[in-house]
Amino acid sequence: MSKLLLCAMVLWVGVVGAAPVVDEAFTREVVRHLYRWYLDEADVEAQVGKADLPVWSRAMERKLDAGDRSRFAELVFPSFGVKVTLKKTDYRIEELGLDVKSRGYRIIGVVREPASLDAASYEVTRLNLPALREYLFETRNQREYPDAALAGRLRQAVRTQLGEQKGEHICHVGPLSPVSNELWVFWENARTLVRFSSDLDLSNPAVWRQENLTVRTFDIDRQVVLSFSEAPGSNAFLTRHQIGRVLYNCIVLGQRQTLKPSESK
Amino acid sequence: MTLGLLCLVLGVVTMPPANRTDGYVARLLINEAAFPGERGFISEADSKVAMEQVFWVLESRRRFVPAGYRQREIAMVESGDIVAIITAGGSRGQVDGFFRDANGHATTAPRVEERLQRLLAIANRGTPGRFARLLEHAVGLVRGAVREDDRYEPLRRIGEIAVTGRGYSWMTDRDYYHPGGSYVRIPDDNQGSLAGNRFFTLKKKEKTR
Repeated sequence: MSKLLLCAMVLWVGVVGAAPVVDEAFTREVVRHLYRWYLDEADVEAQVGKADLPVWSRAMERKLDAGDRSRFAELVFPSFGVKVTLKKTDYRIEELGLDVKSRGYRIIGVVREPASLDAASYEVTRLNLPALREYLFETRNQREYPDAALAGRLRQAVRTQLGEQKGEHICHVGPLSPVSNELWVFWENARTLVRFSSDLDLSNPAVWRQENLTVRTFDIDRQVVLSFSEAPGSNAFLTRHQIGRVLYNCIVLGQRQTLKPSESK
Repeated sequence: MTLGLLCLVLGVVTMPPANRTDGYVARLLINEAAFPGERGFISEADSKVAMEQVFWVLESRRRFVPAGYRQREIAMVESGDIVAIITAGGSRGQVDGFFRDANGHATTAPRVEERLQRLLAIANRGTPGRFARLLEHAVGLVRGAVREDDRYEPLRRIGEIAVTGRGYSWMTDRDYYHPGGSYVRIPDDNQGSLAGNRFFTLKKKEKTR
């Protein structure tokens, strides 16, 4: 533990210009999210022998609705050619009498967009790479699961997706991310992936009233391609790589849950 | 006074049935744009533009096949019918959740209609607000009551790549991966990301087939 603390102290070095829009601990969690969900062996191998990982950050101005105090930011990891868009949500849905707030920034987009990267418009910081690698290694199996209340709401939402089903159903619930309002579930019997996402923190009970929850399902037999070039222009598919990531997170790192027949509807 | 206008005056948002072309296409525009509370939501204006650009993708696949391409290459079908454009591709469907059933009728996945009914219920609570305006925008676009230019039509170059202009595809939350084929990602600087969707144009081909 003290080793990790020491790592944290030496991670954040070489700040240029004004303070970055997010702190070192948050940035580290974003890297961990990328490590788990996006980066490949080749990305990691390319950093071997390097002393640090540059991180560019900036606040983003977006034209928002009246009364919307949400904030946006970008983190760029030029070593990976990856840009992460962040949002700290803060607005009200008048029709629902609901304040939509997230406790911190959350990832709303990850894109490989190396062509448009330009350091001049960002604050530049550097993560100590050996310390970061150790942190990623130490936490590679770390997982946060829904608490009892959230698990109950999740089971209800999964049951809604199950519809009229007979017999026991096995679901694998992926771990929660502290930097993303997205949760994946692998519904084993139907060989289907279910993705829950929201602009609210998933721990907020209001999400699970279904009014603010986006649910998408993917049939892992039918909606899979090796490359999107097999179905160019279509938005109905996931790549085998994406599905592999989701299955790893749900089955290996996730929680196995059994829905009894009485719970299936 | 039309029924739609009467509903607007009374503050009631309605949706044409899914078995009519305007109802089916409006469902698609609504399905692809994030509403308040949903991941990808930025603002009412952003979601409206997303609907417009999705509509323009359909129109471009239907009416503006670029030089050097065949319609079947970019739309998986040869047709001037917008519903055929949406449901093209059979098992390799072009739009997730929108397809033809066993009887050949254009239909949607249950979640599409469930979400629409939820949005309608919210829109009809109290004074019409953002939900009502977004739903009406979708119907207005399909019926021609709203006309906005295709923001991607003027695009001629993205980075080093010569492109055809216009949007020909969009994807939701799969920004990290290459879209395949001759598609070119429209970057943020060109409003390529709207309401949780990434839009794509096409590489320009020099020779006409």
